[in-house]
Amino acid sequence: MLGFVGKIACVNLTDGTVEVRPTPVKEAGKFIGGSGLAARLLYHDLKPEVGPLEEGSPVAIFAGPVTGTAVPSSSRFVVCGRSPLTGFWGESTSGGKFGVVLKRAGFDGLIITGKARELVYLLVENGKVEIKPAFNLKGRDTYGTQEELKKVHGTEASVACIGTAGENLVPIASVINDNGRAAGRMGFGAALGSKNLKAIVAAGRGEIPVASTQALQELARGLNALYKKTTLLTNQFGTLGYLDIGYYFGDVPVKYFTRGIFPIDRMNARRFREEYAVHARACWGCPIGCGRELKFKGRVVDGPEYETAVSFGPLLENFDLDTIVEANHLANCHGFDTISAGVTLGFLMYLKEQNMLPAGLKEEVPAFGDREGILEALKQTAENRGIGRLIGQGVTRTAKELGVSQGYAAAVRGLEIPMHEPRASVGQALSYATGPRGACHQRGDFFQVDLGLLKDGDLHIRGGDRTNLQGRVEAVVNLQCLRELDNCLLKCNFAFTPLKVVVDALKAVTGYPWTPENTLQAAKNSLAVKRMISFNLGSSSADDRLPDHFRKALGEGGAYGIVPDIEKYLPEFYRLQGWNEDGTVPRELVSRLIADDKN
Amino acid sequence: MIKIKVTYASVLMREPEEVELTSGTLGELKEIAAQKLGSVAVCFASGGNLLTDPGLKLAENQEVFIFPLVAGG
Ligand code: SF4
Repeated sequence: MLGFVGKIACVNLTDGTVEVRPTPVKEAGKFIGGSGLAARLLYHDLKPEVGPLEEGSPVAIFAGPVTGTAVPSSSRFVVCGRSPLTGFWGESTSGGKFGVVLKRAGFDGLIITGKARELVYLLVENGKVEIKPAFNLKGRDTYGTQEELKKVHGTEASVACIGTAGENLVPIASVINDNGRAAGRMGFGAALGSKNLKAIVAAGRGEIPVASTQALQELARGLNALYKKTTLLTNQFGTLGYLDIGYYFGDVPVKYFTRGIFPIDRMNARRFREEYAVHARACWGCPIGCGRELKFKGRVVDGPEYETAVSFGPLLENFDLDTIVEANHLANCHGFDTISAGVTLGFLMYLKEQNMLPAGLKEEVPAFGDREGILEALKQTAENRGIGRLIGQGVTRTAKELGVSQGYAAAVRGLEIPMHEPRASVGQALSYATGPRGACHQRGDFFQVDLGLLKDGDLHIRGGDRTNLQGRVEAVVNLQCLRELDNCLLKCNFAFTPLKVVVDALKAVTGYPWTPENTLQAAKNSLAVKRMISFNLGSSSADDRLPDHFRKALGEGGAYGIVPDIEKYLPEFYRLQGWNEDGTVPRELVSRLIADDKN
Repeated sequence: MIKIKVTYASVLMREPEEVELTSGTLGELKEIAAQKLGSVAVCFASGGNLLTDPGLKLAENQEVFIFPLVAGG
């Protein structure tokens, strides 16, 4: 099967060995690649008795078959394994160009185990992987680390690294690459930190083989033209352009999910453009260019995208743009997830307001809207001290430590709910409850379906009544599958691709006889294996729910009065995914998927 | 002939306005919006609900929100 460069490097940092194995392309027929293939390969190695920060816990860093090809917006890679944040299956993707250069360096993926004695980095270059000392990078932030390593390996190299949060094993630490691009969620920065692995440098100019260059170029021409036209405003305003649209529908969480209105005119995308000199930045091979660079206090910094602006903005009742930009920069420099940090800080602020914190802690936690307090709390998060230690461990563990009901913790399977209010879209609520990594707005982003922004007629994905899923559970399942494909291929989900086009792209890249049926089945296989892994690690169908915090209707805003009753849709959801009535994955499917096919 | 109140998503860079409709249908508003906004594809909502049926009759003074596709992840 083409699209793959044919090799996976298994790096053991304890004994310093690197074993290069052929990419098991036969498995790609079942899982396509990317996070699906990684889940299959890690299946037996993710064990409940091995904690995510222990030496024996593997971390996989994979590109996908379309990464680095002419398919638009296909620069992505995924970091996956047992999540240091949730303890279950975790995966997090990032753009930039790291995924492309990893393949050009000769590898479809890396599987990293063990723990180096001292801080090291990996050099992945022209078919070889070397372990190199990184003691000079200890304590460096992510921008400084990238700069230092590029001095040594050249500016064409791409660096994925951790900051101080990862070194300090903060469970929400992220992996940062190509300036401020982030595999943000699930805490894999801490997993790399636990292995004493500061960075991975990829360098190389190898070819990525595809089955039909001509078919691929034709497809890419059409898609590039389409995206340029349909995503013009995303290019001009970035994802922040969504803010007042989401606001209208009550999709923007306010004051730890307790309110629905705020002074939107103080922080919409237009205000950002007026306030800062902003320009667009694109990942490798992307015609959309949703990234922002801003001039801020005499520096050029990566601008906040929608999720971050809301996490450090309305969610904390903070409408000060400078604070949001500064908070985003802090999170990028130190390498931690903005959504998990914002939600957990919001949770503490909420408990403070409700008089639910012990006396000593109450004074330490800033009140909603306290700008300086927010920045100080985030600095402490990177250093894993003070209330930052609580923020850094995420909302679920913090609730447990404080003896507060999990019903208040805005998370599913330990992953904090992102910045799309589940009461604004029942389909979004169901997606959160059943997402393969917990509450995830990328699998799937059903709020966009409800707003009429995403459609795939063949999969019955179309806009409808956002308060009611009657007759539309199939659309939720199919969107989740379509988004699963993004992480298997690997491509960016902002470049929306209907199933028909996914199949054409896969055929042109791999030469494998993909059809809509076997492609959709591969997505279901991938979802099933990830679910099985999480269940093996202690999760269950009982986790397919939203916390009680969301059972109260909001009294204002665009989500006024809506309480999503997702339990009634679960049986249909399970059936359509091909799972058992109780939400477990059928044994025969398990056996078939993890059968040891040889190449 | 009816008058409706139209507001736009901020990225469309247009101030709120009143729009006169002869037939009073969503289809007519869609045509007027296409003239004003050129090739930008937009959606329509009122009272927090998506409006899709071109034959839908709008009411005097009804508020309609017009918004484009912007990735919001
Ligand atoms: S849409 Fe944005 S995140 Fe996606 S590939 Fe393009 S620039 Fe990167």
